[in-house]
Amino acid sequence: MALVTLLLLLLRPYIQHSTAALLYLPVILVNAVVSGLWVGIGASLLAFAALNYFFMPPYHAIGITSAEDAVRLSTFLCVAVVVSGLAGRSRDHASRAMRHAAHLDALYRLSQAISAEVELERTLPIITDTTVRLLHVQACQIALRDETGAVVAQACSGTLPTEDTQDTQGWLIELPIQSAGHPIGTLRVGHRESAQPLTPSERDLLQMIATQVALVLERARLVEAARHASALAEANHLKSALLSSVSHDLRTPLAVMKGAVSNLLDETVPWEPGMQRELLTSIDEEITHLNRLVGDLLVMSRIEAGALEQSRSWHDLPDLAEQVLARLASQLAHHRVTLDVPPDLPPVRITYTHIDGVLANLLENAAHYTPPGTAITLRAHECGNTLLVEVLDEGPGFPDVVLPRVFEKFVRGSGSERHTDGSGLGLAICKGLVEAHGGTISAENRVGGGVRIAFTLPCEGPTEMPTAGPGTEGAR
Amino acid sequence: MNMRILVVDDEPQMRRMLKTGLSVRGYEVMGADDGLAALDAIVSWRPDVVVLDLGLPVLDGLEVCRRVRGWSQVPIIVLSVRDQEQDKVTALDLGADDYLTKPFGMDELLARIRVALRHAARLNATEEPVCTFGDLQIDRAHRRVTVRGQEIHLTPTEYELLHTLTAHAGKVLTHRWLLRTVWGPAYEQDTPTLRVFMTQLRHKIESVPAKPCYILTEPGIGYRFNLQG
Repeated sequence: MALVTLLLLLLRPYIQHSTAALLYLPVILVNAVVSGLWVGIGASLLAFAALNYFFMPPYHAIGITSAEDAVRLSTFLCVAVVVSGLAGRSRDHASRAMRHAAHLDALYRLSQAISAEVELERTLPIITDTTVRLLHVQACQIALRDETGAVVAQACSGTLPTEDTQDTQGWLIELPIQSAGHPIGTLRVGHRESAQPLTPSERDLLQMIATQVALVLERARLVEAARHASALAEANHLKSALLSSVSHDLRTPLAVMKGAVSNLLDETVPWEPGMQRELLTSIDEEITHLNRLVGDLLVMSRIEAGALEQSRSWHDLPDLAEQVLARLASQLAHHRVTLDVPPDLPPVRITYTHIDGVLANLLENAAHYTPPGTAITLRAHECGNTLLVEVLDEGPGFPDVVLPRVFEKFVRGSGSERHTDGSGLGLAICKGLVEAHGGTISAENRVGGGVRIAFTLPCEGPTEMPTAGPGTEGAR
Repeated sequence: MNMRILVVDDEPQMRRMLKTGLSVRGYEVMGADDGLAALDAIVSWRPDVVVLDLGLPVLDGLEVCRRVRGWSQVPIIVLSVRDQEQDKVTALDLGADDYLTKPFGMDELLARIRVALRHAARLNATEEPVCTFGDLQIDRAHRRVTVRGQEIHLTPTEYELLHTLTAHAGKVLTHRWLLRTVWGPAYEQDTPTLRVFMTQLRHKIESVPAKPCYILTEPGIGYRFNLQG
């Protein structure tokens, strides 16, 4: 301003005072744009004074000699003030817009950062960190509460004014976080180092952050709900697959029986004894099959309901194994059976019929699913605190897709017609019975071909044993 | 020559029972235990009727149905433990002629086999211009229909519907199949229209429309034109 005044003073002999007034205007405009409204108005007043003092007669004195000068001067002042007002306001608008843009950018980045995460434990710290950085506050804390008011999740950033999350002292501002109209937590920020309060736009920003927190929480809940729903759908699908399997397995033997009986009842057919016998044999076989299936279903449902009858007592495994092998002699006749069970094994406390059933089932499977002439081995040995019992065969083994699921209900080792004899429950029942004894069961395909099914039975400490320890028996 | 029946079932007991029951009644019977074996047998052995289980290893029964219909019109009677209407409709839509739920009586199966054989005979016979079902006579050459000697007037759609039903007499025709065949693929879902036309047709050809003896309803599935009339 002073510079322009000096320049104009030098030029005074050559220019009119109206030109000087015009030249002052851009200076005022620049001042208003750069420094704002009030500086612009100040510059207008200064220019007004300088114009009057230096360029209007009488020179070097405040005062007006003619009415025309008065009009000129006052018009100049009006124009200068209006111009600086307009320029200053547009400058304010521009800077406010820039601040807004910065806030929006920050929010955008925040929402991007949290949309990449699903876990609350990871998203909440991102939000508190961003809040501290955006608002230049010393601390930010988010606490989410359930219906009873207990904190279910929280995150803090910066230096907290107090460790106590319930304490409201020392915080600059606290906003409720709401979801669907219900308060679900609070967002708090600490004081600033500059001790300035938040501006309205910063408060808006904070409110938006609180809304983001609510959205994050909502999303976390929805993700959880979706997981739950898909687990339910899975269970439902399993259940209906199970039902259709049971209904298929129960109806098939019934269909054969009904077909055979309705055949035999037809008096128009001249039945030969051989044919009649064949139909009666099918009925007989299907009844045996159905009876076994119903029995297996009953055992399975007892296992699942935890209602298995247990009557445990001490038994020697070698005796049990021999009994089972003797009973299955006809089924095992076409295989080379090896019994590798040392006679000095410690006795085990078991429900005899259950473990008898497990062994019989494993041996029957081995005989059924392997070609005649191959070897079947029943092996047992002591292994730490447990007794390990293995049944090994040399058959085709389980298909890879079936192997992980062989102990599930109605999963069959092979899709061929062989399954008519089984209930599809055998291994599932074995698993249930072994586990009821505190043991484990596993199946694997052997390297050279065939299947190895192994189960364990826990041996109890020698002090509880009613008979002498294994050492004395081994000396026999 | 004896009629040949192919029994496709993966349960050996079921195959054995059906073989005994059917062969004693003079049919020549062959068994197949999976879908591929069934296709092979249909090609090489040329059965007159196929009795098909749905749950088959290697190739599912529905798939067998679909493939067979690509090149053969041999009657297929589905035997299955699946008793949901949707299963029946799917099998029939894929070209099966009939559907029987296990367990079933032998007499029922024999009746269905007889219907299927008669239907096949009708298909194989060269297009007779005039065919008769009980009191009903259809003259295809002149598109004329008479009931008890009295000529009745049918609209073109009604005639088309009756013609389609009688051409597949004995076979269960699903709503969808009828709509597609008579009205066109765009009308497949328009079951109400079909119902309206069936009612009109029954009024014109049945002596007691409420107790039809020609056009029988298969609840939830479709209609069947009764060969016996």
